[in-house]
Formats: sequence, structure tokens, C-alpha cells
Amino acid sequence: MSSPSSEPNKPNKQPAGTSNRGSVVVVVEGPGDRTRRPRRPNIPRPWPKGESPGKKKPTEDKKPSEEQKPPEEPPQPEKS
Amino acid sequence: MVPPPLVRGLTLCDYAIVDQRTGKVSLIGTFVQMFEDSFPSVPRSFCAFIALTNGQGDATVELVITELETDEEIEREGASVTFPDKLTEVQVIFQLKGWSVSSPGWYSVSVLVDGEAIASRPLQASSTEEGS
Repeated sequence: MSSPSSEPNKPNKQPAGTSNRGSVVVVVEGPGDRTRRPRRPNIPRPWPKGESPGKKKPTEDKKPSEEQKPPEEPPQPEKS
Repeated sequence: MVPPPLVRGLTLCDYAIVDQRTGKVSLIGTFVQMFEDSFPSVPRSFCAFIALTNGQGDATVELVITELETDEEIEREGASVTFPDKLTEVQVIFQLKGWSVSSPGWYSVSVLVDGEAIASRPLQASSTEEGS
């Protein structure tokens, strides 16, 4: 005697019973329309990656232009 | 969106629970009336559940609450939704938080799709002294 419920559930198998998966459910949290605004605005971060703005050391007082400069590569000797 | 989607449901309730496994939505405490001790009322939170179908593509769904006596719009929430096809039902749950009723009377809860009103239902706010 075997019943479908006793079978182990396969990962992609839809379980027997009713479902609402065929619909699209959208939850809007108010107040205000938050859905039209980008959740993460594309603003370049003013601090180096991996550091938070609150943990900035007072000794690190580099100019922004210096921070954005890529490290200069040493001149390579010309091959003969 | 032409033609506008069909509204299969517009329900106000205290809570809406979405089951993550089945996607089922449970509406808890549906209501058509509000009783308040004083006006403006204490801020309340509730949900508006809207079921739409017969849509196609992207649309903006808005929930607008209007005081009927003054025709003043007192709440507007919006959401961008996508209808995969005309048969798929799109269910939108607006969670209104901290909503205060300014005065007793009749209010209209309307659903707009791309700015066009496609459904509405009345909501009555009454004083607890008037209710029985």
C-alpha cells in the first residue's frame, strides 16, 4: 500500500494541493511609493571600497584626486 | 494600458499573509467599516488586496483613498507591476501604515491602472458613540 504523500518529495516536484504560484503577488509597503524609486541609488561612493564612512581614520587626509589616481607602474626597460 | 485590466477583487483587511511555499495570500480580518473613539483617529495600519487580470505588459497600479464629502484625496500609493499575459492574475497588496481618519464619514477606496480608475469601494468611518 503506497500513497503519494509517503513518497519522498523531489526538489522540483510541485506538492499536491492548491497553490497560488500561478499568480503574481506584489506587496507594496506604505506610506509613499517606494516601488518607483531605485532601492540602491547609483551614487559613487566617496570612500574607498571596503571601508565605511564612519570608520574613516583621521590620519587619512588624502585629497580626493590623489585617491582616485591609479598606482603608477614603474617604467619597463626597453627590450633590445 | 488598453484595454485596462479587469478587477477580480478589492478587499480591505487588517493583515495579509503571503505563504512563501505556496504563494497563497491569506486575508485576515476583512472589514468595510471603521469605528473610532475620536477624530482625527489614532493611526492605524491595514491592507488593501487587489486582484487584477486581463492585463498585458507593464502598468502602474495605484490605490487612492478619497474623502467623499470634500472630494479630497487623502492617500495615494502606487506600484509598478508587470502582467506576464492576460490570463495571469496579478495580486497587489498595499500595506497602509499609520493611516489616520480625519473625520467621520464616507471614504472611497479606488484602484487606478495607469491613471484610469477601474474599481472602487466605499469605506465608512464612524464614531464609536454612533455605532451599536
